[in-house]
Amino acid sequence: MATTTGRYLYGLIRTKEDVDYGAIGLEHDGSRGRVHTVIVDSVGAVVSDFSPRERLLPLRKNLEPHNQVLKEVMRSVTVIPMTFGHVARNDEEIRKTLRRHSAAISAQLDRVDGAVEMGLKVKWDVDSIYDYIVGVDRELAAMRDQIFGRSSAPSANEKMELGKLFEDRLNRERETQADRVLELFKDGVRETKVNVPKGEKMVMDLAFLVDRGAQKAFEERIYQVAGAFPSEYVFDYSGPWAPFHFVDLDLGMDAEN
Amino acid sequence: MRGLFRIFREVADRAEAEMYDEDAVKAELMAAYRQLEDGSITEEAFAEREAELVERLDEIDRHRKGKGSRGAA
Repeated sequence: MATTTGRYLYGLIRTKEDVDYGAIGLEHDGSRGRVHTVIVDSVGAVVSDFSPRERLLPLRKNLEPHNQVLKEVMRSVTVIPMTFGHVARNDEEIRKTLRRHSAAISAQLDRVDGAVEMGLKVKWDVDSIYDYIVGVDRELAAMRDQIFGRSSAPSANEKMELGKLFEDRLNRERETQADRVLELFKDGVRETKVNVPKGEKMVMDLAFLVDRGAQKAFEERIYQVAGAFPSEYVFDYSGPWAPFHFVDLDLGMDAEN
Repeated sequence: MRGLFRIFREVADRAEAEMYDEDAVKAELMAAYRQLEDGSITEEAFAEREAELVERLDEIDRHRKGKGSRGAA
C-alpha cells in the first residue's frame, strides 16, 4: 500500500503538542482516517490522511465524519471549522499555509476562544402564510378586500400589486420579529448573525456565539423568549456547533467541492 | 444569419453550462444533508435526493470525459 502524503483538513486549534483524536476521520484506503494535528508555533491543523487525487464528494458518508471530528475536537478546545472539502498535498503545504496566515488565524481564534455556536430557527406554524400575514396587516387586508370583494375579477396588475405588498409585509414582519428576538438575547451572547430565512414559513434563522459557560443559561433563555411569543411561533434551537458563522478567514486553499 | 446562429449557440452553451454545473450539484448535496440534520427531510427523502444528485454528478463526469478529447480541463 502506497503511503499517502495528502491531508484532509477539518479545522484549526490552539495547541503546543500533537493531539491524536483516533480513527474517526474520513474513510481512506478502506478505513477511517486517524485524526491528528500538524503544528506551527501554537496553532494546530486538525487533519487525517487523504489522497489529493481521490474523488471527494459532499456525500453523507463524508460529511458525517467531517462533522463528527469537529464535534469531538470542540469537546475540549475551541476550533475554527473548515468548510467541507479542503485537501492539502502534504504536511509542508499545511505548515506553509499556517505560517502565511498566522496573524489572521490568531485573530480569529481569539474571536471565538472559549465560545460555541448555537442556532435558532423560528417558524410560523400556520396552514397558510398568506392568510396569516393578511390577518396581522390591516393595509394588506384592505387591499385584498378591495380587489377581491367586488363583482368584477381583479386585473393582473392588481394581483401583482397585492403580491408585492404581501412580500413586503412578510419580510417586514420577519425583520420586526427577528429584531425583537435579538433584543431579548443581546445581554447573554457574544455575537449574533442573521441568516437569510429559507422557506416561506421561516421567520428567522439566527446564529449566536455563546460562552461555553453560558450555554445552559442561553438554553433556558430560549424557553423564556419562546414563551413570550404567540403559539404559532415555533422555536427550534440547535447546538453547540463549531463557530461556522463567526469566523472570517480565507486561507487561500480551494475546497474540492 | 451568422449573428443569429451565434445567439443560439450562446444560449445553448449557457443552458449546457447550467446543466453541467458540478459546483451547483455539490451545493445541493450539502444543502440536502443540512436538511437531514435539522430534521426538515426524512431519511428516505434524503437517500432518494442524494442518489439523484450523485447520478447527476456521474452524468457531468461522463460529459466532461466526453469533452476531454477536445482538450477540456
